[in-house]
Formats: sequence, structure tokens, C-alpha cells
Amino acid sequence: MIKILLLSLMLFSACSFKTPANQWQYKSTTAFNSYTQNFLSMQDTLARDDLKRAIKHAKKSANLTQLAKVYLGECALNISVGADNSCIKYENISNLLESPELNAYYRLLTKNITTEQTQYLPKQYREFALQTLNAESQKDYKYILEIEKPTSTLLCATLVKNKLDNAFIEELIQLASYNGYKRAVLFWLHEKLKQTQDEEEKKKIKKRISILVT
Amino acid sequence: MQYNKMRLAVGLFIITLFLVLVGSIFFLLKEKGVFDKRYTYHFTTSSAEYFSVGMPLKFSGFNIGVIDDISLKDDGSVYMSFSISEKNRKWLSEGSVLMIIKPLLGSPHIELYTSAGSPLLEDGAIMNILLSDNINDLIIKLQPAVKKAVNILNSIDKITTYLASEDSELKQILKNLAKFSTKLANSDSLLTSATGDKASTQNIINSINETTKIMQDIKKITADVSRITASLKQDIVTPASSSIKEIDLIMKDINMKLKTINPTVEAIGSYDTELIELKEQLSVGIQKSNQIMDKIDALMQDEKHSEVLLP
Repeated sequence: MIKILLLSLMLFSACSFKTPANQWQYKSTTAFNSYTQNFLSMQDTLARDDLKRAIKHAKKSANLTQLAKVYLGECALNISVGADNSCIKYENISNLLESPELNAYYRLLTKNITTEQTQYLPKQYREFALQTLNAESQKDYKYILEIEKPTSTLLCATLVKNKLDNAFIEELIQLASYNGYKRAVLFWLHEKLKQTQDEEEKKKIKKRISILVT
Repeated sequence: MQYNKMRLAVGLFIITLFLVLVGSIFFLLKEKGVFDKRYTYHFTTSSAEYFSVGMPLKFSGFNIGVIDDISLKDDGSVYMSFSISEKNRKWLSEGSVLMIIKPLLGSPHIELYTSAGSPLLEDGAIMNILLSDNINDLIIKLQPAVKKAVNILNSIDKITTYLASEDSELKQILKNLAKFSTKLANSDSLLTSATGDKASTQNIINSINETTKIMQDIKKITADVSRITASLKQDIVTPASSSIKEIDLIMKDINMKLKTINPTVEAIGSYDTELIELKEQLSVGIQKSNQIMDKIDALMQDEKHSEVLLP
């Protein structure tokens, strides 16, 4: 029944809407969005396939901006869960691009951003970038939790993870848990475990990790 | 009247007695086979010696007949006839042979040897007879051999007499031997006696000594070679042999496994093209499923964006 309904919907959509010329771009974006969800929720097989499809569709165009965004997005997601902080794929094609926005984003990820470049960042990162650049400012990162996009919150928090207390980390764990980002949850649980001194609390954290892993 | 009755009774008694006597005799003769038909056969020999009328003819130790007549023929041979009763006729068949048996003790007799299964011999047939040797015949046959033995003994006697004489060759040889042994006793060595020259003897002795030294050297070399080969066997040959055996076992094992794998490889080889086709079909299927997934993802998206929104 569901299959018939799904097929009907597909036929309906195929007949009702005009297919755009840059279909590859839509497909690549859709695959990347799926990759984001699957990667953070630790569905690795699906995530790998989604990333492959995102890259494959992006490579249909000579304009490498879409491909660079996919590479940077992959790098940002890995950084946000403490997996990998290098963006080698982007670095390999960066000299072929004339995009100050992407360069600024890359600089943010590598903690190498300048004040001039902050204007090219997505809105949610501008304050964070300025705060991190200003060594004299109050190191209160509460505003990070108020960023609308949870992936952006997690990324910002990871970039300053050594400056966050356990209460803040617990807030991040709750945020990641609410969105079903298992990979991010495990990462922040491990970070909390590192910072916790209380043995009883450590045991509880370990038990939480064990439950999620098994 | 009384007298007549007595004469009648006596007459009847005598007649009855006569009849019983005649009947008994007839019965007795009949039982003896006097009235049976007899079959007569003949044979010829060179001499009638040992034969006589009434001489029994035996078969397997039983008397089955007797010689009835012996007569001398004009050519000097003796013609004999014997008869056999009808009951015993079955023992005489074609191929039957007679033999005169002359035992050392006891009277001679004729023995019948017959062949079973042959047809019966007809009445009046002439048979063959064989004469077996008795002790006298053996003595007669041995006489030439005895004569030869006597001659040999005479010859031996002559030879020994000759050898014993002073001028015989044996006596001469013995004298020469005595001289030789005397010479040996007086000479320094046997070799000098044999060669007659002391220098030659010394040469032979030197040669023998040299040969002994050479033999000792050869013995030493052989021992060294034996020791070397033993060490070779221990150090090289034995390990090499065991290694070769192990390699042989491994190779056999590999060979067996290859034989086992071979059908599978052949089968896989035959499926090669099919696998390529299958792989292509799977690839096409996956690509199509990816296209469907893209479309489903696009349908399930809340918002449509053409550009990637970075995290």
C-alpha cells in the first residue's frame, strides 16, 4: 500500500513539476543533507553512500563551488564530532575557487580567521568568530546555545571545547540527543568524562556511553 | 504171501535208495559246475617248463580255470589250452594278458590280468602270455656283470703290482718329491728354492713389502673417505634428504589441493562472463535505486535548496 502511494506521489510529482536544468545541484544538496543526518546519527553505511552521491552529482558541473561546499561540509561535520580537523579535500581544490565566503568558513574551521573575513561567514558564526578573535572579551559562550541551527551550535562548541564547563557540555548533550545526533552525543559524553573529577559521576557517564554503544 | 510182500518192500527200498543216490550225485556235480558250459582258450610259449596239466589259472587270487592240455607243435613251440566256466568268463576280455608266476617258494601258477570295459574274448581265442623272472633268471642275467667285476679286480691287481715294482713311475715321482723336500730343508727360503735365485727372491720380498705399505695407505685413505662421507651424510645428506622428503610431501599436498580446487576454478572460469554481466546489471540496478532515492529524498525534503547549506 505504501509502495503504491509512494509510486503515485512520484508520478504526480514527475507530471506536476517542471524539472529544473540544474537538477544535479538539487540532487547533490539533497544527498548532502541526507549525509548530514545519517552521519550525525551514526548510520555510517547510508552516510557513506549519501556523501558519494553528493560528490558524484556535484562533479557533474565545472563550477566547483558546490563540490567545495560538500567537502567543507564534510570537514565541518567531522570537526563537530571531534573526528578529524583537516580539510584536505577542500585544500586540494581551493586554489581553483574565487569564493571569500568558503575561504572564510575554511579559516573558521582551521581557527585561522581574520577580522576582515568574518563578514563573509554565515550569520550564525559572525559573533562567535569575533568573540574568539577578541582575547579580552568575556569568555561566555552561552550565545552558542542560542544559535538556531543545531549543527552550527555543535561546531562552534567543538572549536572551543577546552573552554567549556560540564554544565555547558551537558546542554550540548541534551541538544544533540534531542536531534538524534548519536555521534555528537558520544563525543560530548567523552569530553565530559575527561573533565569530570567525581568518580561517581564518571561511572554514570561511562554507563551512559556503554548503553549507547552496545 | 508174506514172502511176496517182503520182496516188494525190499525192491521198493532199493529203487528209492538208488534214485536218492543218483539225485544226490547229480545235484553235487551240478553244484560243482560239471554240467556248466566251459569256454576254452589257448596260448603258446617257447617252453613247457613250469607248466603242467591242471595248473590253476588265478584272477585276483581266486582260481577261475585250469590248464587242460599241453602239446608240442611241429615248430618246437608249446601249445596250451585252458578252460573257464561260464561264470568266470566275464574276466576274460580283449586285451587280457596271462603271466606265469614262479614264486621262490610254492608251486607256479598263471595269473590273469584283464582290462575293464573291453568286450568279452570269444571262445577258442589265442591269448598272449608273459614270463616273469624268478631267482634263477636273475642269476643268469647277473652272470655277465659278475664276470666284468672279476675282470676289473684282475686289472686293479695288475696295476697295484706294477705300482709296487721298483721301476714304476709312481716310485720315480716319490723319489723326486723326497729330493725336493730335502732341498727345501737345506735352502734359506722357499722362494729361493722355487726361483733358484736369491736376487729374484729379494725382489719379490721387496715388492710384497711395498704392496703391503700401499695396502696400508689405501686402507688409511679408505678410512678417511669413509669418515668424510659419514660427516657429509650427517651434515648435508641427511638434512637435505629430510628436507627433500618434506618438500615432496608439501608438493604432493599442494598437488592434491590444486586437483581439488581445479574443478572449482574451471567452474568459476566458465562463470566469468556471466559474473561480468551480473555485475553490470547490479551496477545498473544500484544506480537506478540511487536515482529513486534521490527523488524520494527530494520529495521528503521540507525545503528545497539548490545550494548546500554548510553546518
